[in-house]
Formats: sequence, C-alpha cells, structure tokens
Amino acid sequence: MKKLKLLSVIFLFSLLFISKEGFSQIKYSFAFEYSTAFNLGDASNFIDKPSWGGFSTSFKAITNKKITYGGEIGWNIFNTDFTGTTTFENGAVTGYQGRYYNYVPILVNVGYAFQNSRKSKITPYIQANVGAFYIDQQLQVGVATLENTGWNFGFGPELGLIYNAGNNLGITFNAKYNYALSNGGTNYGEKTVGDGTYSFFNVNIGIAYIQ
Amino acid sequence: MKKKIFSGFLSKMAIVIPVFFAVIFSSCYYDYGLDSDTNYDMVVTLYNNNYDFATVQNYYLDPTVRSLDGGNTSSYGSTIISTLTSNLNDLGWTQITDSATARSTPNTVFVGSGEFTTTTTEVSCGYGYGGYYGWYYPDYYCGYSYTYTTGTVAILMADLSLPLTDGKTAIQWSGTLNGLTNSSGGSTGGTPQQRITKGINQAFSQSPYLK
Repeated sequence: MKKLKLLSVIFLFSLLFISKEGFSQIKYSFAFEYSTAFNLGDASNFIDKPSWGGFSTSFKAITNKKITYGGEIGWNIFNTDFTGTTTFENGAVTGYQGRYYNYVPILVNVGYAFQNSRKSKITPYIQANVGAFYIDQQLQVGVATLENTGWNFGFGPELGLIYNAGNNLGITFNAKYNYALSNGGTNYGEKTVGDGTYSFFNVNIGIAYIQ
Repeated sequence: MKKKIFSGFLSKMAIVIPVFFAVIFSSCYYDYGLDSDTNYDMVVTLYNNNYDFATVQNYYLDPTVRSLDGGNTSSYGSTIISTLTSNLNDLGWTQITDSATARSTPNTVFVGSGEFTTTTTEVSCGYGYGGYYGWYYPDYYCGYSYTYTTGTVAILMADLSLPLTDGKTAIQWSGTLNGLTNSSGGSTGGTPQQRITKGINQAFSQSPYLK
C-alpha cells in the first residue's frame, strides 16, 4: 500500500514536472519592431539609399515541436532627391528628380525555433515568409510625377532571435530578404515609372511580449 | 496576474503604437511638393535608336517657333532659333535655308520647334496630427491648393525622305524643355531666355549619338 502511495506521489509529481516543463516553454510572441531596409537589384537602381524609417509588427507562435508560425505587417519608406541626368533606353532626362518607395508587406510565415525553453535567454529561429507587398513607387521629374502602385506577390527567408529579458518582455532581432514579383505595372495616361521586381533586405530590432 | 500584465502591456502599446505611427507618418512620408528654392527645369530627349544619325549631313530649321497655345509666333522665338542653329552647326551639319532644296537633298533632317504654357491646380493632401478620444493619431486631410504654370519648349527632328508611319511623319529625335514660368528657377535659374538657352544646350549635350 505504501508502495502504491509512493508510486502515486511520484506519478503525480511527474505530471507536475511535465506540466511545469510545458509551462516553461515560449508559446508565442507579439513584437513591435523598428525596421530598416536596404534595396537590392533593380530597386537599388531606383533608390540606393537605405531606409531608416520603418516599422514591423509580428505575431509568432511556437509549438512544442519548435515549429513556428505567424504573421507580420510592416512598412518601409525610401526617398531620395537629386538634380542630374538619367539616361534610359531611348533617351535621357535632366533636372530635379524626387524618388520614393513605400513597401507594406503583409506576410504569413512558418519556420523552426532552435530552442523554445524559457530557461535559455535566446531563442534563435529561421523561417520562410510569403504574402502580399503593397508597393508605391513614385518618380517626380520637374513638376511631373509618374507612379506605379499595386499589390505584389512576394516571399523570402528570415533569420532572427528572441531574447528573453524576463517578466514576459523580449527583445527581438532579425534579418530578412524580401522578393516581390512584378504587379504588371500601373499606367497613368500611358506613363509608368516601372514594371519590375522589387527586392530588399530588412534588419529589424524591437520589443516583444512573450508568453 | 498574467492577464493584468498582458492587458497592461496592450494598453501601453495602444498608446505607443498610434504615436509611433504619427511620428513615422510625419517624418518619413516625404511629399515632393513644389517649393521656391528648387530648380524644376527639366530637359527630356527621346530618339529612335534604329535611326542612323551618323548619316545626317544637312538640316533645315523652320525659322518660325510655333506658339502651340494660340498665337502664331513665340515671344522667345529668336532665342530658340539662334540656340538651335548654334547646336546643329556644332554637330557638323550644314544648314539648308530653302525647304524645297532641303527636301531634294539627301541626308537632310528637318527641325521644328514650338512652345506652350500649362496652368495646373493641385490640391495637396497629407497626414497631420488629429485628436480622437485623447489620443493622437495620423489624420489624412486635403488642406490647401496651389496653382503653377509651366512653360514648355518642344523641338522635333524628322527625316522626310523616310516613308510615313501610320500616315504620319516619324520623329527621329525630340527635345522637350519644361519649367515653372512664375519662378526664377531657383538659385541656379535665370531669365527665361537664359533658361531656354541652357535647356536647349543641355538637350544636345545629353544626346551624344547625334554626332
């Protein structure tokens, strides 16, 4: 009888341990991040200056098997202006030029966390993002403005980490590559500023509520 | 307890996020509107890259600068004609002053010019700060309008020995100058005559394939 009691206590203690182990895992995080962005490829031919104005907000759930899934919405703004000559296929333009991009990615993601224990301060992860990018591209030449605006399908990988600072507060740091396909171009009176693909790189840092 | 922490976190974020949005909107959504300090003069040149300009030896310049918005002649006609003549001669081309002779002379292009003005009224919209339930949030508004007038000088070059395209004479090269008429063109501007001269010279200097 004593043995049975002892086994029962051990069993119940084990359950408690399992439960506590489960509770010590990071279940999800909700982050708000400052976002920087760097154009690549054709996009950098249009604006090669980095974007220091942007943000991203994301939700990430982590399963017991360390699979992550979630979503994010962000915004990056690029702008530059200069006076000079730009040549193109059948001509050239000289004068004042103002250029800007607005990127608004709305993405879902799935990935893998290399660990999910609260005991470890750092939870590194890798994930794939896919979704829609709302992109507004504008070129002002003199007093005229050409614009290409629309939704673009896009995707890209992300590598990051969540630092557990305690009291449900986390610090996030991540880097991601984004590739948005052409939206077919937008014509404004038969004028369009471009019909290309857009690629850019994000480096984000932020704060998170982790549970 | 955790619910309290979470709700406290959310309530703080609910205040922080709109303020953050407002700062982002106001600081980064750059509006390339018109200002009095910038020179908005621009020069656009376009050309047919299948046309061999190296074969051109002569030119006929229409001595009348058309006023394309009503009048018969342009008030800047003498400036435009003298500057065009100078640049066409610098290409090594020989001027033929009789149009009938020019039509019968091989390797000759015809050059014509015109000018017109356009008045535009823009209603400016943007983001500012608005108040709602004690919070500050970005408010989209269309607050003020402004009117500007631009002057345009157009230069066209055609080879009349070539067959018509869709019943029309094909343009082999064009130069277009555009700028604000009620501006001195910023710190690098000048009188209208100086700006027209500078613009025509720029049109030829950014078209090295003409030589």
